[in-house]
Amino acid sequence: MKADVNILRKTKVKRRGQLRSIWNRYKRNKLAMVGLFLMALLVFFSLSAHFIVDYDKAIHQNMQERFQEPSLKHIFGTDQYGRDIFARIIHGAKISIFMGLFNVAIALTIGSIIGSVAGYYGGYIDGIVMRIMDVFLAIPQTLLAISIVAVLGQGVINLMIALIISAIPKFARIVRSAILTVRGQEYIEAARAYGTNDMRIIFKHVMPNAIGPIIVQATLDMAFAILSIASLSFLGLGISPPTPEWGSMLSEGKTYMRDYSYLVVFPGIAIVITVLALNLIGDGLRDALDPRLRN
Amino acid sequence: MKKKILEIKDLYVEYITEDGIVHAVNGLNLELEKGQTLGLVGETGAGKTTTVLSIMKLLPEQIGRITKGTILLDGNNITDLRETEMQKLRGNAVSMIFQDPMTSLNPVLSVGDQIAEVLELHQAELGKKRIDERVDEILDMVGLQKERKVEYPHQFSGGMKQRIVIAMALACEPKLLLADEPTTALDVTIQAQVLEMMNRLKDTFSTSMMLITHDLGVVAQTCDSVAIMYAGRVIEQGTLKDIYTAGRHHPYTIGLFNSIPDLTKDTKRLSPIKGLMPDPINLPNGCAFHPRCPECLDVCRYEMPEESCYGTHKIRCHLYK
Amino acid sequence: MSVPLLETKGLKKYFKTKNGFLHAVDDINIKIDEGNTLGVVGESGCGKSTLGRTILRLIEPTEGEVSFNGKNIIEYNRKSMVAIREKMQIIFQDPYASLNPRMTVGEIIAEPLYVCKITKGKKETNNRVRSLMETVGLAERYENAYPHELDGGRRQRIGIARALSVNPKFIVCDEPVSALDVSIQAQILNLMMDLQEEQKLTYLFITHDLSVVKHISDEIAVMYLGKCVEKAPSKELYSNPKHPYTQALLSAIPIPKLDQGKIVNIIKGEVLSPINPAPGCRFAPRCPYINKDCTVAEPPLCEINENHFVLCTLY
Ligand SMILES: Nc1ncnc2c1ncn2[C@@H]1O[C@H](COP(=O)(O)OP(=O)(O)OP(=O)(O)O)[C@@H](O)[C@H]1O
Ligand SMILES: Nc1ncnc2c1ncn2[C@@H]1O[C@H](COP(=O)(O)OP(=O)(O)OP(=O)(O)O)[C@@H](O)[C@H]1O
Ligand SMILES: [Mg+2]
Ligand SMILES: [Mg+2]
Repeated sequence: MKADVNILRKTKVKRRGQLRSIWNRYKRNKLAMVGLFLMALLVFFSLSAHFIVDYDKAIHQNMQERFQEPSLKHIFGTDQYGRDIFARIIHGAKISIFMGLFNVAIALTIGSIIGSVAGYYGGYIDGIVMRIMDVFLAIPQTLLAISIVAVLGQGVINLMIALIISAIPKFARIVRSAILTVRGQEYIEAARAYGTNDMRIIFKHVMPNAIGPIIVQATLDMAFAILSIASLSFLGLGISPPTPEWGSMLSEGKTYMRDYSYLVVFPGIAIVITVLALNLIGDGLRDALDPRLRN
Repeated sequence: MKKKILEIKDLYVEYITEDGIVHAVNGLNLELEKGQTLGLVGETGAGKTTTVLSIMKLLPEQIGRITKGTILLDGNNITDLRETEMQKLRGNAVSMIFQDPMTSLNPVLSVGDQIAEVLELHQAELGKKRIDERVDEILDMVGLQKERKVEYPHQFSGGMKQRIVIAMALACEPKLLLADEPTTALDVTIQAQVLEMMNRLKDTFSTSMMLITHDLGVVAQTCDSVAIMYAGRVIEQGTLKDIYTAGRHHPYTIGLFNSIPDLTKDTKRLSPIKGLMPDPINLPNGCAFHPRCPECLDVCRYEMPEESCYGTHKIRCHLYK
Repeated sequence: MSVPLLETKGLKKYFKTKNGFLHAVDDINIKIDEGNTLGVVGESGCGKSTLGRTILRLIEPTEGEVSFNGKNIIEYNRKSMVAIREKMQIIFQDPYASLNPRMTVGEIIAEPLYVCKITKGKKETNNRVRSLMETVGLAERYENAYPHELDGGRRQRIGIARALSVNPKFIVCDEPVSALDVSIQAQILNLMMDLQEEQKLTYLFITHDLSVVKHISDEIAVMYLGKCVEKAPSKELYSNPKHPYTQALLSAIPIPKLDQGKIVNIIKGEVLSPINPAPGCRFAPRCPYINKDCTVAEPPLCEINENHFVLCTLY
């Protein structure tokens, strides 16, 4: 019976780090690596925006240079106020990406707590909490955000609060259903049998097994947040005008789209790339976190 | 000659892991005639599940792959079949009962709905009402009360879940049924009932069956022929009579029979085969069983034995030449 | 007389279902002395696992008492319950479903050590994990493996190592070997018997395999639809089964020999629904010796021989 032990005693085992093997698995997914590369590029640009082009170029109006086609001087052209679109996109990246990330991080945390409490304990706690969430879910997310901003007043902080509140119910719902599918498993029972407390069960045993759909939702929601910031800004409820922001660039450019299509093409591409990168990363991460798909 | 429903020739399957390549199946040959039942026996880790997963083409993506060999299903080579074509075969031509009943049921769907879903997929022509009746019949066949179809998997006991999984596989009346340890969680009386049900299925629809089990008693009762696997190879096969009557046997087979707890004797300790299944990443040279073999010869250490035939009885061992 | 390590009195567990109450465990009285093994056998779905789980309070009983070392643990509050959990462990039936698929073997075994604060620091934990793996015969190499990469026998060894990690006195073994092949089954059973001797463990050994339970148990209880219908010392039960269900169970064991005939003695008749069961003996609809008393009231419990109890109107 001990044969197994003896034969293999010689091969020394190193304990592999958890993060390392996740990274190893992630690495093999080519599309996910592309996503990561794109995201890294975007983050790099937004962090070093000040070194690449002056912020001034992004907000300073220059009527002589209105509607310049893309050229060497303005590689993405200029808008109706003569502002350099390249500069506006680079500086806008900061707002869009970081607000998106921040929004998802907070909404995910709060939503997960609510969802896991509801899913794990079930019963009337579940009933009450989820009915409240349902009320929020019944209101379209954008409309909800608009109403919250309208009540709180305009401003970046209020905009964030509005977006977070409107995203929480979705996360709560997804986390709850993911937890329901793993709650009844025997390994949860085994953990209870040696006296693990509920918090640890949720975070150590339930969550890691429920993470797949949650990550996908998170990346989708980040894309949604970027678009929402855009539409709210357009309605005058978000970022105020001179500040460069992809969404507001898009909506401002809409008026001139027929004659100067590049006004919307470049911010549009920026948004598409960000969203795409996020989705690729999300898919890759979901697979990398599942050791059963280990390769 | 009888038609063969399944023929596996020289099959090799491996899994790629971070620690190295797991050689799960190494040159497996199997044949199954129409309407027959084949018992596939072998120690845990011998590659039984891997073999049936290869037939179903359900090996884990990217990790498991067939490196060599052909699988003929009803005379057609399915080795290179595309996923969409394979989907058409699954359920109708070949159906599988999975080993872990607990993980192959959907925890958030009631069991009645799950069985109905299978029927809708494969026998849509029945119509809604008839499907409902069929669900009741099927549950009854595996000894579950039909009122309980509204309940969810976690409300059933281990054996009941296993019966539900069996019911789902039988529901679509496949031509070939691959049953991966279908009765492990069942007590003897229910097991007898389930096996009888499978036999009936075999008679009415001339279903062929591959029954993976480690219960040699079950094999004796239900199978026509037996194949014994060790480390990804069939080391002995033959008709029921070949295997169960004394005579020439592979030392592993002898060990297997000796490990069975004997009800008629009064020993406290059981006598298992010494040692464990070899590490499939690092299989020993020669005969894979040699490190545990009580009758190990010198050749066994470096040379893989050939198959020797005695009529229907085939053994892969250096003791017999 | 010494106090038994574990005792249940009138233990009941009813599940609420859409159609009424499901009597999963109905008035079970058992006693296990320290260092002994009680085997529990019975039909699939008769409440064996539920019994094991209620004893560990993984499910709250509807009624009744569970005494561990003479103290009723059902009355324990959360905190004292956590303390006693170390002493009582469980090994599950399905070695795959009972292991967290996202954790490596090493982490699975280390987790209870951390939770129960048995070892301090990384190094001590690692050493203890290694020694536990060695005890159950798992190579060190598997420390980093995930459960899905292992075969059934090795998975079950992990389950055993996890249960042993907290130095329990009492282990509920819920069909620990039914998913394993005969050779590994014999190895695991030998391992469990060795461990019992070394560490003076007490087992509640649940199984449906009558040939297995004979080897490991001192006493056997036969359950049918939530009731304990017969209880006797191991040898006595096999040589002298009294209850018709026990007899049927024993005669249905498939024998690994040829020419035993393919027809087995299948118990005929409808299984009584465990949901709001009719009064009287629960085996009555399938019993070959049924008489009019059987469906009227609960049959009495009689002691036929010393320590041999039967719940049947025949005696
Ligand atoms: N997904 C996987 N990744 C890596 N190795 C695997 C994987 N699945 C199976 N294996 C390995 O392949 C070998 C054969 O496994 P398989 O499941 O086919 O055995 P089995 O004969 O069905 O055993 P059991 O009786 O325990 O079910 C084992 O050594 C196992 O560890
Ligand atoms: N959580 C639950 N909710 C409702 N009913 C349940 C629940 N758990 C178990 N049951 C029911 O209780 C009865 C006994 O189940 P249990 O799991 O104890 O059976 P068992 O004897 O262990 O069977 P097996 O040998 O098949 O594992 C079954 O009818 C089952 O459907
Ligand atoms: Mg298997
Ligand atoms: Mg059970």
